[in-house]
Amino acid sequence: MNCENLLFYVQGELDESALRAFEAHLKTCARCQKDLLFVRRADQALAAPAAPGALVDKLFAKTTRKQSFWVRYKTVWLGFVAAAVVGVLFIPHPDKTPTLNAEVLAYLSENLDADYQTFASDLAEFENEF
Amino acid sequence: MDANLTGKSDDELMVLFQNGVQEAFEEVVLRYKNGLYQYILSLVKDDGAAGDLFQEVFLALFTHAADFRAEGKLKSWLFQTARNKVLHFWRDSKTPLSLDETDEEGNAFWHETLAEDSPALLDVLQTQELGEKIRQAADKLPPRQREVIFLRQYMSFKEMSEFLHRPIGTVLADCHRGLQKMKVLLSQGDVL
Repeated sequence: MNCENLLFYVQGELDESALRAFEAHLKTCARCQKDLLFVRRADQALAAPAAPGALVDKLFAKTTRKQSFWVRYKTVWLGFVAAAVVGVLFIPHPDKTPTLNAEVLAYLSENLDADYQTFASDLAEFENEF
Repeated sequence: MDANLTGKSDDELMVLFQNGVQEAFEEVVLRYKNGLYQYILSLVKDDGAAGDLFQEVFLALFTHAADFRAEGKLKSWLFQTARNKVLHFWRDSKTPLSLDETDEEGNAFWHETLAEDSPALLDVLQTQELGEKIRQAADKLPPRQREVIFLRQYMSFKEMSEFLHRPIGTVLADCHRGLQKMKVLLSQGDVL
């Protein structure tokens, strides 16, 4: 009957009297000695390996270390703000951008010359009358 | 991690967490992460699924911490929740698993039906690959025995009896049969 107590013995669940009885039995039972060896080797082999660290980090990120929506996307918001600032300051405004397009410049110059000549002619006529 | 937390009981940690000490919850996770992950993995045999279920268990604890009553049963709650989630997992999968299956008739003393203690088996015990062979043998057990073999790492037989709602003699017999089968598998070389 003492062989039945092997697993209770390994688990430390025998009361004092049963423990003494089993230890006395163990000294004389070769089969229990081998079985005990196997159970202890099995316990070593089956000892829980560490849970993946990334798994625990992910859990904490969802629970105790969860960041607010704004904090989590702080980089994104800052990026948007920076892009908006750059856009206001540096994106060319059509009315103020000095054009380097030679063709357009020449066209405008032609019109300007033509407009100037018309103006100069009108001015001369006006001055002659007065 | 606060060193003071490591010496606190499960109930004390949960009370602290209920009062806003976030580190207390983290201590609970660190205390049970390895055993719980191994238990789940032993039943689902899939790293990804085990990871998801592992998180679900602790997320449930985190979410419902306010309802937790300090009655010394946190470990039982964690493993029971894990077990329920595993059962739901298998119920939704294509290959249902029953944790009540067993293929053993059972004998009173497991070593009476063991393969003969041949020198070959004892030689196997000396090899460095023994640990891996033992783990593989445990993985080949029927779910009911496999569960008990792994739970034995974290619970007493009395606790297992309450956890599984089975008589303690039944739990003991399942464990006996599981270890017997592992020895047979090892002696026959039926593990890779």
